[in-house]
Parts: sequence; C-alpha cells; structure tokens
Amino acid sequence: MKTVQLMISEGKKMRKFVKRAPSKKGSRKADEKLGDLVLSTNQQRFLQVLVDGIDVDEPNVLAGRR
Amino acid sequence: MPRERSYLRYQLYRSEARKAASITTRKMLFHEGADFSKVRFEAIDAQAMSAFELWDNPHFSWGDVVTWKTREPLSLDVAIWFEQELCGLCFVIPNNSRQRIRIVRLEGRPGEAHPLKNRIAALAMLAIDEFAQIIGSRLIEVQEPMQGAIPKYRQLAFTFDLDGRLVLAVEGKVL
Repeated sequence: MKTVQLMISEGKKMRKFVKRAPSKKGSRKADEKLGDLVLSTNQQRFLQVLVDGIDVDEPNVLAGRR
Repeated sequence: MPRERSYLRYQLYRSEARKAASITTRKMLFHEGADFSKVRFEAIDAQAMSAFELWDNPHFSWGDVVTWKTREPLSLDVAIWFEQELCGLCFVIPNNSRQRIRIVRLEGRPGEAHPLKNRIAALAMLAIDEFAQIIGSRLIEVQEPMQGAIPKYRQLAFTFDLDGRLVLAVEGKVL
C-alpha cells in the first residue's frame, strides 16, 4: 500500500498528514466471495456436465418456437 | 408504485444471477481445452444485438426479446460470451406465481464451431437456476424443447412430468 506524507496548513501551523492510498477492499471481498461460493445440487451437476458431458451433441436451437 | 419497485428489484435479481453464474464458471478456470475464466454472462443489450447480427442464419430473431424485456419486467435475459464472441442467448419468464420459470428461447451460435459448443445449455442453466432460487421458483420448465436437444436436457437431469412438460426441480444450496 502506498502512503504519501503531506504538510497541511491548519491556521498558522503546519501539520504532518499521512495519506494512504485507497485499500483494495472491493477486490479482496470479491475474491473471498469467489472462494465461498455455495452451489446447489443442480448447479454442481451443470458444472459436471460442462466438464465431462460435451460428448452429448447439442443442437444450436435448444428451446423455443419461431 | 409497486410495478416500478418490482422492476428495479428484478433488475437486481437478474444481475445477481448472471454475476453468480460468472463467478461459478470462473472458479473452474481451465479444463479440457476450454478456459472458463473467459466466459461472461451479460444482459441481451445493444452490444449483444450487434454481435448477434454477425450470426450466420440464426433460428430466432432475438431483436424481439429487446421488446419482450420491457413487456415482461420479471423475465431473465442472458447473453453468454466467450471473451468477445457471443456464443449463446437465452430468455426466461416466470409464471404469475413465480413457482415455475419457463425457458422461452435458448439458442447457441449457429454455423462454425464456437468455443462453448455443446456447453450452452449447461451454462445457461447455471444462470437460470440461480435466478430461480433468488425468486423462489420450484420448477424450471423448457417451454418448447427441440427434439434433438432432449438428450442434453436429460443429461442436465430434466425429466418429463405427468403432463408431458420437460422440467427440473429447483434445489437449495448445499452447505
């Protein structure tokens, strides 16, 4: 984390002020969320199909009526 | 204005469902030649429509969905991307009670093979199942499944109910 020391004026006095760069709270939180992700049984199955199930041919049109 | 409120709430639900699906696939990283970290789940927006224009002989006119989205504020629309390639499109509507969520349209990019070939159904289901859980649906139904796609749906654990509808029960998270 970067820190910058500044001299700021308070009336007639000068005071040392340490300015810290904004922390990466957001990205850390996202990473934690990624690790903690809980999946339903269906979702676990979908992932399994993504990995192992591509031998079953899939037509381009899967659902719907023109 | 309850309609306005539910519109905003569902906008959030849609976004959450797509985001959760993105996180789930990103966790898989690289497998069997497919780098899932490059898969993105987005709304069917202007960017998706521009990419769709490049599809070779698509079955559906997905421009309709842009209109449907405004008519159906509780719907879910998903564009499945692999980096900058649009590989699949999906549109889903819950019924009035929200107990059942219907897949109205699902199509993978036609023509030459794309990086997510044979994986569009499973990827779409990740987002749809998440959305179904968020809004409290009990069943996912494929409204008009293509005959050739039935083996794929069976692989994803869909079954035909007594009324001949292709359905999958929504389950909660396993802790």
